[in-house]
Amino acid sequence: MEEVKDVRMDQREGAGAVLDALMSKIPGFGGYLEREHRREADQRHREYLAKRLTSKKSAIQDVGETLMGSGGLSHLTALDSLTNKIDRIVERTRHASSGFSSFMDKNVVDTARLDRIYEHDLSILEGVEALDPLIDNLDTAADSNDNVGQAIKKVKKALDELDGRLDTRDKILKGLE
Amino acid sequence: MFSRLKQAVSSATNSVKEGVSNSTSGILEVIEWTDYHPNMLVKRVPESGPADIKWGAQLIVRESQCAVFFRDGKALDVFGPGRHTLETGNLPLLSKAVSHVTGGHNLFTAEVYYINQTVITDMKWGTPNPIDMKDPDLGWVQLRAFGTFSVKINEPQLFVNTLVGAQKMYTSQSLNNFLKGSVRTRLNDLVGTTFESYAKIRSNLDEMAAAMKIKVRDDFGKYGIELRDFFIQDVSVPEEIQEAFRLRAKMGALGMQGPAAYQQFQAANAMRDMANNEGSGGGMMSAGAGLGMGMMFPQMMQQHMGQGGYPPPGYPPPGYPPQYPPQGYPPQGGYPPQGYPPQGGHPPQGYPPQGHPQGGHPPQGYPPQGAPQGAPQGAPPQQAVDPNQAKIAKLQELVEMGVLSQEEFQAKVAQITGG
Repeated sequence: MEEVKDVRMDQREGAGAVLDALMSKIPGFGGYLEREHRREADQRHREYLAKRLTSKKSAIQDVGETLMGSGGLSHLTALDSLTNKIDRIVERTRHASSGFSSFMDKNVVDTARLDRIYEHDLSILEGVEALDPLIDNLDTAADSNDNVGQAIKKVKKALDELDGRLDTRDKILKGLE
Repeated sequence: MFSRLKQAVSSATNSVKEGVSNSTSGILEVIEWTDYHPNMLVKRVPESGPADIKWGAQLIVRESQCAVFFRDGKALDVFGPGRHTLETGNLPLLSKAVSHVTGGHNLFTAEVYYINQTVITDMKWGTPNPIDMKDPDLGWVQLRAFGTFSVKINEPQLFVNTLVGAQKMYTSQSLNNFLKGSVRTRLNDLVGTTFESYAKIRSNLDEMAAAMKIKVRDDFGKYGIELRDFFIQDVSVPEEIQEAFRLRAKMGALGMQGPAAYQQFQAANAMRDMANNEGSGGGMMSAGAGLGMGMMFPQMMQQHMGQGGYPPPGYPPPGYPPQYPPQGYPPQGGYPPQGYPPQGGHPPQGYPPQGHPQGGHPPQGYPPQGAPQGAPQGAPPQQAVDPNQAKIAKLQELVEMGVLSQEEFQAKVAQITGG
């Protein structure tokens, strides 16, 4: 019990501004402050990310409808690859390794590593939010069927970066980075 | 397949029973659905009627599953993957419902629906009735198409409320039957509005599939289902139109275009077939026709490609084709001539005449000794034929056939010989 208390205290002191930022963004996020609540907090975080990403997918499909009306059929396949990429990221997020170490894990997630995960989770969240202006731009391009290919490329690049950040998160948890 | 499904249902039921075995008097203490068939989308626990569940019971939900608590036909609380201890804190809606105490246990009454949230693949769609499309090149054509799609239940509560109802289980087959109707309708619409020609469809199958995903999104979404993939395996037209496409490709390869070229191509093919088919037209004649066409065809091609027009100027020549039948045919007086066939059967009695060599043809001893040796073998003997003799021979034949009497014959011979 004393050990748990120590970890909790360490986390409170170390997490600082990053945790505050996460708590301000994710409704009901209690953070990883309480070791026994890490599981729920981690799940809540991942579920939140998945939901935000799913809403982006819906926005991209709306762009597809616009393209069908404006004669941009040739872009539909590229647009479809964006939604497929989002599906992949959503599923990876939902089923990602948890941000805690279970009793059976050899690889213990210590406080320092947990701090890195907080930072990284925040960057993933920012990456999801950064999609908004890019999708708005894509929607505008689809209206006039002008520069759609370029706008699709920008969204794709942002999604690839997001996918890469999930890779990094996994590596941090496994102690590979 | 159904037996495997039944097995899975039975296994799932047993699994729930295992949970019940820890209970007292049918009160559920552990609820889980361990073994499920991939085709089984929804499993109700218990299979019929409500269950008494102990406050503090364990609910186990595996990855790609979710559990929805129902009471009085209303979906109340939803649980994602994990082990959940059922208490007032995580059952906010259900805790407000009626709960009671039995045998010292705090109980609540509910049904649990487990929902399979994996991606359900290999769902099939097709067009049992063809889609009519007005193609700019082909006119009205009937299209047929088929393929597969995959879906995922992304809003379990909505799905159970709208499609499953109180059924004890729901399979992917039932879902497939329901969804493919929507797919067909939207495909029909898409063909009519966006992909206006068969050629455009064939060259844009990926775009069409992507468009279909967008088209059916709302149809599926209102039931809590998300379309994940949509594949078009084939879009086809009737066989005769496919044959026309192949023919057009052949003609294109030969540099022939247009309706006149089609007639030319067909004529050439027909003659080639006739020449190849020795059995029907007579070997030599067909071979001759084939040879003739083989020689004609390059000329025809040259004319077509070189002069750019068919038929060439001056064709057909004046007077062609000749009138058929020729004037004066059939001869006046009817055919066959009166008196034919002769009475008495054929051949007439007394034929062949006496003295005609018996024993087949040519008669033995032919050619006679002393025949000119210099004549080439097989050549007919060169003899000057007297026209009067030929006439007499004809008259003789008529006598033998019974057309002329002996007297008439004699009179005619005398007339010919001037005697």
